[in-house]
Amino acid sequence: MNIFGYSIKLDKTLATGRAKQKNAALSRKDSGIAGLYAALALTLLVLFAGCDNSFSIFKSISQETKQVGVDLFKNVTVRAMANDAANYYALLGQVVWRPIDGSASWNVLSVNGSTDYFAAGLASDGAKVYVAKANSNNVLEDVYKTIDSGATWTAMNAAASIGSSAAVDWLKCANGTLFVAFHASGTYSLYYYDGAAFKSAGIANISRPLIDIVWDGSEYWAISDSAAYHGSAGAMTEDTAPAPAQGLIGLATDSAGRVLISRSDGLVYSLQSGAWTPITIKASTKLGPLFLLTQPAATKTIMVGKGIATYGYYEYDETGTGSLKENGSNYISTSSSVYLSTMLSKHVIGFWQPSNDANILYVMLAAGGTDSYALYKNTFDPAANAGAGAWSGWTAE
Amino acid sequence: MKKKLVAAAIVLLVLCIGMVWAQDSADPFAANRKKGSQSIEISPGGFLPLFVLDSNFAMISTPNMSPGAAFSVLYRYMLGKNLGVGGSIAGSFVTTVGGRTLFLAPVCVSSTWVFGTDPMEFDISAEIGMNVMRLSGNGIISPIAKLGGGISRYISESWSIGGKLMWWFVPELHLGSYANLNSYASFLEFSIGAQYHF
Repeated sequence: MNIFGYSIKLDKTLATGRAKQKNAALSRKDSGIAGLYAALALTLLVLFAGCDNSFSIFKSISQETKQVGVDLFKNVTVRAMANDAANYYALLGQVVWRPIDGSASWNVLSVNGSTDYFAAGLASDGAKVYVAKANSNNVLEDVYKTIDSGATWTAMNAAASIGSSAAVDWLKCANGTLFVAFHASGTYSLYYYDGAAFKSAGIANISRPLIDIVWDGSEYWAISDSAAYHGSAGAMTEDTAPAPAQGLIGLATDSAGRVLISRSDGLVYSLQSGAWTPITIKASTKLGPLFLLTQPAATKTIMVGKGIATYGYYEYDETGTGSLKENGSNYISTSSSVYLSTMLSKHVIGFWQPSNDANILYVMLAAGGTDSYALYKNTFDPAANAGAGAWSGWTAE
Repeated sequence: MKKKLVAAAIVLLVLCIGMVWAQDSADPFAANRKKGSQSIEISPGGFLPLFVLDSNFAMISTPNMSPGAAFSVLYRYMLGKNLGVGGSIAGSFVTTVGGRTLFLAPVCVSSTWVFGTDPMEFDISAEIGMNVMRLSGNGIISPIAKLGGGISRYISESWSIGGKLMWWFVPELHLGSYANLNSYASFLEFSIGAQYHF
């Protein structure tokens, strides 16, 4: 019995072992199948999560417009624009220009008798055009001014005031005054031209680069990425309001007392009547350059570049409770299809309107990774849309 | 441009037929067309957008797409001498006038009718499946149907080469209030391929 008992016990042990092995194999098979199902479910989840029921691929394609621009604007970055009564100007490595009436195409502008130069800055007040020329090390040679669309140039002897080792970051005219932002010896400063010489605007030797300057109707506002400054041309001081003081990116004004600053956290701060008010454009999303679109007049639209990898821009309609327009939505300034085929994945350097025409809007883009144009124009037709007006959509220059 | 490419593809196929027709018509490869025979085919080629219909089945006058390329892998299991079933995965793209690129990646089940005398083989196949499309960051999953045929010639016991034409019908379907965005596109895939039989 004992033997049998042992034998029976042994058989039971072996049977149990085989059952365990079988169960383990089944378990491995089950877990393998479960893993396969999980991978399949995850794949389907990822695929379906990327779907947008409101976006029509073939309709979007059918609404595309073939963009035919000039080769000058392919694979370049447009850093600034300017105009006088006769011409538009755009800053690439050099300054290019074309007549406003479209009678000729874009071409390189001869500055002070030469087309072989590097331009570090471009600005205009609508009548005078300023170009900062620099040497191969980006060190300022001089700022040149023309009042006759480039026929003659006047050297402004800027290096004598700013310094012989300064590198110009940008030029800009605000309220008819020319400002020069530059850096030297690792610090950043802002100067302005008082009609006779360049003088400090009151922002000197700061540690962060300056981004932009605007005139709000009563005083100037300038920003670096960590501070806002305001005041008169020669006496700008840091704004002590704490709210907008970090991650500043873009600056805009309606020239009637309102100032807006975009930040890297998705907020735009609006200053009116002495108080900063936050507007959430897209929470926790880095923003870019700002622009206040004044057409159509019935809508209050903030255009703000995206600081994230998909780039392009947002349109935020302040009318009512506010609404954000982005990829897939219908834009005020263009169709979704044209936006997706022109702006997507391109870094917006800024928006610009000529000093004498609020119905023309340009967007300046960085070169980006696509073989497309860097300058697009949009025209507002006040008579379109049954008199409500409509933008034409972006067209390559 | 499209017409020229289609004509060129057809001429290529006809030439292939003509060239291989003159070859030895012995039948040493019948073993590859019996129940249980399997094959894998790899086919790179071109991809032509043909036309797009809107939600009312009216032709969209400007599809705005240019020719692109396609690549497909097809597995086939023979159920008998002539009928095979299997599956395919493919990837294709076309460019648009605005400079964008539309990607299509269908996964299909297929049935194929194979006929002909070795070393020549003809097939007519139909496929249905799901198709993932991507355009400038936006995606759609849609059904897809393919219909077409091909011709191939055995170059060894295990390998055959040939070409095929496949018509892709790609309905882009939207749900609910977005049903007005429905559209129906069709494309022509023309490719050369190598098929391994085992």
